[in-house]
Amino acid sequence: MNLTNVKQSPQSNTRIVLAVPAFPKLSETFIVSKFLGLLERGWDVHLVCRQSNPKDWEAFPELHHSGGDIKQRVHVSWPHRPRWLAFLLFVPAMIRALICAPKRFLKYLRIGCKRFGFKVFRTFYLDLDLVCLKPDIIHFEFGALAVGRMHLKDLLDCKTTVSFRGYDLNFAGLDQPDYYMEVWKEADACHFLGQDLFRRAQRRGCPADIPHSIIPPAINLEKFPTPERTIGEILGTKEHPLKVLSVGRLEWKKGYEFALSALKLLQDQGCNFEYRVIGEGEHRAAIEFASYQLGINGRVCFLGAVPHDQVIRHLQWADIFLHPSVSEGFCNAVIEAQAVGLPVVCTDADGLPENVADGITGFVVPRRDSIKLAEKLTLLISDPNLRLTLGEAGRKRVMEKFQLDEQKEAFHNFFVI
Amino acid sequence: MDKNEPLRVLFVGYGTTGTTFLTRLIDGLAIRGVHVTISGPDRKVVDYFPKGTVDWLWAPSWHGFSFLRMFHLLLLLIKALPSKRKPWLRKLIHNKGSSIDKLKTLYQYLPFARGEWDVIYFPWNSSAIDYLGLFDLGIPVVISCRGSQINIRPHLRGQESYVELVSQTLDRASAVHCVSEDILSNAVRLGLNPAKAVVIRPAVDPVFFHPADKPKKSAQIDLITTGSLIWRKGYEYLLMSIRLMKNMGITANLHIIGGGAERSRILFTAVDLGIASQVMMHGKLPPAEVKQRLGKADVFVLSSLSEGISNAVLEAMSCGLPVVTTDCGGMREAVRDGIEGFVVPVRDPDEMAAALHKLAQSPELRNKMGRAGRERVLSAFNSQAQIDAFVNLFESVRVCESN
Repeated sequence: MNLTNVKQSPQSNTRIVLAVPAFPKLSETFIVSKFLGLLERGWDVHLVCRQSNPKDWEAFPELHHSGGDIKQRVHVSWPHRPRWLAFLLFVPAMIRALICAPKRFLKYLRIGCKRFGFKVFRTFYLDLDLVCLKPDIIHFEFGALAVGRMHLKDLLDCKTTVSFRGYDLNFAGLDQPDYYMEVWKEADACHFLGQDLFRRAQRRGCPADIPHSIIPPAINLEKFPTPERTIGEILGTKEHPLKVLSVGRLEWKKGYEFALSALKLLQDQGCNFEYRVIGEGEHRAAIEFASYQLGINGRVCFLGAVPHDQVIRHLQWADIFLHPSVSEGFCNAVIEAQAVGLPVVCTDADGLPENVADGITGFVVPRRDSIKLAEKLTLLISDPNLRLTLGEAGRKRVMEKFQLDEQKEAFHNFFVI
Repeated sequence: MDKNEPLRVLFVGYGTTGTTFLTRLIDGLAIRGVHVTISGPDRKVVDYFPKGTVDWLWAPSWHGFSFLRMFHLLLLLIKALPSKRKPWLRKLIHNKGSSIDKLKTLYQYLPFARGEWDVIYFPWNSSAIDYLGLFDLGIPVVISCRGSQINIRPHLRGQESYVELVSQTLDRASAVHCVSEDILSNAVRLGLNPAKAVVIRPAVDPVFFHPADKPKKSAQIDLITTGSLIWRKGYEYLLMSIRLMKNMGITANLHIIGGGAERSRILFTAVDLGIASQVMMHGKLPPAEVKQRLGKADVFVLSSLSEGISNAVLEAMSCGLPVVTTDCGGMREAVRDGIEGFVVPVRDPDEMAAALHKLAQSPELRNKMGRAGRERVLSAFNSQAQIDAFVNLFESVRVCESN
């Protein structure tokens, strides 16, 4: 169901507050572009986060040269740890709320008292920024952020909307059957990255008729110039080693261990390759150990976190993009790989089959299946023509389906509730 | 030195809580008349042991500069005044660059300025590295090589200086204990001289871990595994085997005992593979409950990617359970393929499922292998013999040095 034209309101009078854990983040560029996109459309957008690292701001020049007031629109919550500090800050917090939004503050306390009793002071402190900003719509950028916050709808007289991006549906509260019940009941609209995630939500109790939009991630194609790709060689030889690239945080969810097992099979077949992995994360030791244990250490290069412009360089270096995830919302990195005309070999985790067209822009194999991954890599190695065709189709697919402008339009429509 | 005098051993790096096997070792040593001292920041470390059997050496840990820290330092200084080891301390401090480093070093080593020991024992390679200065005391040092510090960490990227320090400490130790032949050969590759290495395998108390009295009646197959929920245990591959078994027509239950960071990974994978109803996570349990759970299970399964040698497997064997284990570390030294259970390659769910399938189908095979496991523990992994071996090891370095 689309939410367009239910009630057309002048968006400049509508204040949307986006709630995120940290802003800006290299691994969450989509939030930056959504934020900017909504501003462009004239919405009065603010953003509330727990953390904001000045160093990360440098990685996003667009946040600096698109108007000077962006920093004023990003609000970092007051600390709530250590507890004594939160305790000390409580009175200033009340004063601030009284000055900024007296009516809402009083209403918050009045209704909140009935609902939470004394705990209202705690929730108020956590909600301080949202109270002061007087939002018309609060949008939670991840499902788990909305859990336990749906009271805001009544207490602040606003609408609440939620984005579901993968982790929230696959992991958060998995052992609590009614984890999202309140969200399903109260949310005014939900956004899912893909059909698969919507189906997963339904398996977790989301009603099929909940107002929702499916808006896949998108990229700015201008940032991804296509290199001149010509029909190449048969790869994997001594002269022409196969160049494989993966981009994604070093987490177990990304399934790197299965990719390494697949490459081990390739090595056993006598294939010469180089594998580059871009990303950092807490599963690094496990992945490095797998690479050692499988005996392919010398061919694998862990590049760590890499700035965006350099990622493009590595994308242009590679012959094949490998994405072995066992769980994935939709995956921007795979869209980017298609944008530069790389054939993709990925798994069928969550949104990936909607991202990559199997047999057209790459290959989609069952997750946790190293043998199938290796088979598809072998197929691509020996067929330069196929690599080229899949790559070109990939670029075309991104142009048609995952363009940033269309996504901005879709988000705009999403908020015209 | 008179050989009849009781042996005095200083444990450095016991940690704040210690692990079950270290606690058992210290207990056993104390019973044999060894005088054990544990260094640590908190008296709690000796609370577990019968009063008066184990000594505690106050060695507070440094968490940044503070007034409390300085107060501690003053106390330590006063306690160390009569020490004859001042030149040792002076030398240690002299080697440090900045004054804060000097202060930290002083703080770290002052507790050791007094006290007489025959042997300093580091139960981990990392503790030997942290207390490099103790090697200069002129007291023989024994280090244990147990597992991931020898067969994982050296193989990760950017660990050159760690590898260097490991080989340096192994080189300077008077004797080195390895938990398995496999760990020994790994340590030799890191520069250990095999002549001063001793393999003492872990052990279990066969009286505590004994086979369940009543044989299980239900036809349902219950698999069990115990261990921290960490990546090294390879649980995702195990869950894949359970899925494969289901495809073969066997719906086995899997009981996972242990806590840790990978809980959500296991939860997700079980749901994703459609076996959530077969996977039971019991969290971390005390030994008595672990024993109870083992008694109710049919097969123990270990899916580890790397091990020194798994205590959990020995406990299960002691309880008369057949074992399916991956071929990593010293596991082959505990489980012989086809005798006490099956040994399958790491990261190979197909092979693991095939082995589990064999055991699931034959109660006779389970009984036979379970009995063989119990016998093996009684003959080769007996805790009494293990403690004797440790006493001998410590005695031997004392005798060497005094000669």
